[in-house]
Amino acid sequence: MSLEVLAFGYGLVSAAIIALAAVGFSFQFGISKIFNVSYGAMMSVSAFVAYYVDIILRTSLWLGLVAGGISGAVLGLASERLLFSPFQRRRPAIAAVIILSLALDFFTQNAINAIAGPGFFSYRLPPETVFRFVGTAWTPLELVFVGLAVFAMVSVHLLLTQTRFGTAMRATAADRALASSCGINVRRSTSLAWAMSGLLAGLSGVVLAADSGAFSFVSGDTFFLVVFAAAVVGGLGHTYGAMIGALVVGIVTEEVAVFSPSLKYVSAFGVLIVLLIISPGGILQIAGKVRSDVISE
Amino acid sequence: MKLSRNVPSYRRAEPRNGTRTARSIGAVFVGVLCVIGTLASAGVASAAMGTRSAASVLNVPVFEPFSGSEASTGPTLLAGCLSAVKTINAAGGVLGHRLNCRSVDSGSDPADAVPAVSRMLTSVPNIVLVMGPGSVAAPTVPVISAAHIPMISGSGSPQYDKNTDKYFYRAGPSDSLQGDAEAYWAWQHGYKTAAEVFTNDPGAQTIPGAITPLYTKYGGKIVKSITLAPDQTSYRTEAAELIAAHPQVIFTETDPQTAATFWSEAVQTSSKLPPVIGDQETTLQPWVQAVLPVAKLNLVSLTISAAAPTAGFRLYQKELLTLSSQIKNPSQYATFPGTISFYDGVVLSALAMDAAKSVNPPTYQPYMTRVTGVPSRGKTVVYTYAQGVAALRAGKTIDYSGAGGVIAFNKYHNVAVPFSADKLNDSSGALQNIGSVPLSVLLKLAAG
Repeated sequence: MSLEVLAFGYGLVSAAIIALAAVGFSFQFGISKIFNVSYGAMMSVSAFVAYYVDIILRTSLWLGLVAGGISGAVLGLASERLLFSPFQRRRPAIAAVIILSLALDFFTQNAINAIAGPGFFSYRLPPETVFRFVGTAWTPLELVFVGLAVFAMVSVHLLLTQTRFGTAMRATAADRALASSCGINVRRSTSLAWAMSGLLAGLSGVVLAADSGAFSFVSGDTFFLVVFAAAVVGGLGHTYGAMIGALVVGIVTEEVAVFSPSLKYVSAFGVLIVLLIISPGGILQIAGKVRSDVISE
Repeated sequence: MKLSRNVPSYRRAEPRNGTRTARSIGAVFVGVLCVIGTLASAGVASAAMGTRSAASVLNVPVFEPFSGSEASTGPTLLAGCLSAVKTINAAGGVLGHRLNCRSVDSGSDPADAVPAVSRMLTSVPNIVLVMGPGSVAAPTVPVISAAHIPMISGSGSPQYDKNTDKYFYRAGPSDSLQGDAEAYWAWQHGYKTAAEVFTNDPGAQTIPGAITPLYTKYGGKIVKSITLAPDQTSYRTEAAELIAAHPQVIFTETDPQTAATFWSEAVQTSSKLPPVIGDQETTLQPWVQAVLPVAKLNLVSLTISAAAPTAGFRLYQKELLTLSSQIKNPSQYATFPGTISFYDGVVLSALAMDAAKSVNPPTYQPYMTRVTGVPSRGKTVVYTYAQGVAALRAGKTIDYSGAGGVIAFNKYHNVAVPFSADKLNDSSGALQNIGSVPLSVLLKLAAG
């Protein structure tokens, strides 16, 4: 079995996990223009909520996944309503907003450490059989992750294009003042977008923790760098761009690993640098699909 | 009388009131800075020159990571210091002074460690000894040494194999010795082909550098060498490469998170992995906690020998178990070599202070090698701090053989120890000794 083909299959799994998080991050940025560094910490919180449901309450990982998603949504909504929106109304400098999100990130990370401790945690996962298909190898859990990511992407697409709420969000992201004057409740649109983004962060946090085997209070933040790379590669603030960016980053890193495992992150950020030089708006700008920073179709 | 336009320029150049006020404030500010700087220098000089105040508490900072990706290291080693300080204070302290352990977070990154060590030296009073640094040794050892304070480090970096810094002592064996032990063990057990799986941080990379030359010298072949970037979300491709190379044994050292991800994906790829040889890292509770639930490995860890049940080891364990209000679940560290070596490091330093009749670091530092060593005629072997103090008061020369056994520093302040081979029980997570690599073999290998 060719290692390159195997790596391609593995890259799809990585891309699925990255896409779940990157789309959520782009969602948030697209509507609020806030570079939320604490996104990774939100993922970590959800992973621990799922652990509590799965292991401490002795239910199942799937219930844990639901709980993790809900906790992410609640956290996203709370941080937007209680922290970022009131702060933004004071029209602070961009750096001040980033510092606020950084402070929230450190606060959340260390709160998890204080409660759960610095150790490592694992979900209860059954032993798995590997299925081989056209030169690739998959486990049932990996197929579930990919399926979940595809389902989430399709849902996001339908939400944005087929619902009034999605139209309202797109209008708010495009021009907040104009959307408000057209009668759109921009505050509600923003809050709901953050809740959705939090839901995706929560789901991706649990999926990441399950896929990694073990996780700790820093797992979300460590993963955030790759998520950020994927979001930027696709075009920051563009949900479809984030999906494409995740695919690029996921596959490139696994293929590079065939030649040199220590160059995985080098390759991910190398692609980022090259793309930004060629096209600061990311892949979608190259494809001529992007005019400005909006949550786009 | 009003000034006319014909007033000489030097009069017109007279500063306005606002400027005068600003200059006054500036002068006061500079003056305050000078005072603060002088006081800070005095603090550092005090720490450096060991001018201890009449205060009865002497501080022993444990300068290790308590946050970040290596956050589990700090508590593991702090437990050793706390146990030691308890035994020492229970025996009356050191020359009338009580000892106190303080956790000082070095962070896991050298960029964080340098400001952290400077802050430690200026803000912690009455430092007599530093326990650490470990993974951030390279940039911070010179700073501590410049303050003339002895330090007992767990760093295995080969750069300290020929150490000439008189204040630097190594608590555990060099990575060179570790690599020799692993290569020897693998060859002795008939493994002719091997793979190496290590993370790309400098601390882990020194071990394959020692394994490969000796293993290939024996006639073995390294069929695959994989260097992992730590803390990634997937190592599927790397695991597939490892399996495809068909090694008979795998040498490894990775951090717990990387290990959990890599090995969980490796066992998915192949249910019959070859035996794995690890080191002290693979015996630590965080590593076992991360990996055991997700991957059952045929793992043998080559690590410095846990102590035989001497009085010193029993006392260490007894005091350790009383620390539950300060350390989470202290019993998990009962047999960890790193915790034991930190315990012994604090005790031997305290005995050195007693022998020198001084808590001044530059004064007692030479006695650290005088109160330890291979047992010899004329020296009284002691196993606890209380025994050591009693022997010193009786005018005897002592040899502290601690919870971890004999401590023999060579001229480079390195210790050479035999290695124990401990097999991990997949069900319980307990370690079971299955053999050893004797010190005589290792010394012969080191000599070439």
